Amino acid sequence: MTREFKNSGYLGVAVLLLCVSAVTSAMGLRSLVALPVEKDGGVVRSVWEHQTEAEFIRAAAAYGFTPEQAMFMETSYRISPEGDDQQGELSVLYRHIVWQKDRFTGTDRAGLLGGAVVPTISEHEWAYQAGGVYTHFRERHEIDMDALYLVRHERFGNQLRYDLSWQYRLLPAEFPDWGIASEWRSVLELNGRREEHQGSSHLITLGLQWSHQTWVLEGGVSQQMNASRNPQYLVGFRFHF
Amino acid sequence: MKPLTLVAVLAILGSQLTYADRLEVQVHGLTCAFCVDSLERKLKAITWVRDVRVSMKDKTVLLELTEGHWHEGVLRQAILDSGFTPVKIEVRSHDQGIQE
Repeated sequence: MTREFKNSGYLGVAVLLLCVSAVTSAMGLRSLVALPVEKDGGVVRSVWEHQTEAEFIRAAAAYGFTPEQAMFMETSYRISPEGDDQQGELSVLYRHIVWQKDRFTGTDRAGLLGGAVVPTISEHEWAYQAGGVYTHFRERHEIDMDALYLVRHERFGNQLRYDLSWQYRLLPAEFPDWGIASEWRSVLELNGRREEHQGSSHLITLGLQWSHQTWVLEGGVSQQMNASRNPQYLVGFRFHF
Repeated sequence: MKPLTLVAVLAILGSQLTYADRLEVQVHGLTCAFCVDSLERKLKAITWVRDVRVSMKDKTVLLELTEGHWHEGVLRQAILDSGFTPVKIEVRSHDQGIQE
């Protein structure tokens, strides 16, 4: 299989996800693994991201086998500049909720993550990832955190990734007696990675989510915390099916 | 299946069916509009559920039943499959209507 063919294939998958695309619920803008996914339920998310020198489309999907077990897939495609390595890695993660405590005012859930990063072009290598995710939801506040450790080819070195987000329901301040109201949420998110050979990078994101029963429109502005780069912008859409 | 076994199974199933025309279920863990979507879908997929109304405010689900028969185990499992915790199920009559 030629690289061009592989690239167009993965682009096809990304575009397909985009076409079906959308997701829903609270959860940060840059991580999907905190998303509640019910048995036989699925969510797709697509995100357009503008960085100083590049533009990306990210596509992700989640499927629930049981209320506790779900599979997450995520990939990206660089729209510009064009080049040999536009197709990003494909991350495949399995999540098992090992502890859950639901309350009238919210929920707390902890899960384990395990999976692989699948090479999408010949220069990439397989990597294996494991970690955990925790969600704390109370009244109008949600805090999600997840961390992943990636064991990669020695050429690239191992990597630690993390994501910490706080969502606050701006509107409605109070839910109506009956029926489902759309929700506006603010998002403050800190995520980053520490790489064996390249040091660490941290990104802070401020965003908004407009959440309906089956879809969410979300966007935000990000700034590298340890580099004097221009802000990054992202707009995403999630859909529940 | 032998006729006697079939009768026994039907008798057991029948004993778990209860009559009501409306149910009010308190559900814990309901946090956002998105979450409610999965719960609504699971509940609407139950054959004896005619309509579902959700109160995020009271974390309550009101079920209108088709023919009055319902099965507690099926209802609780549907809520669990949605990822939430069923707490209390109360039988309601149409006289105890909800306030819009």
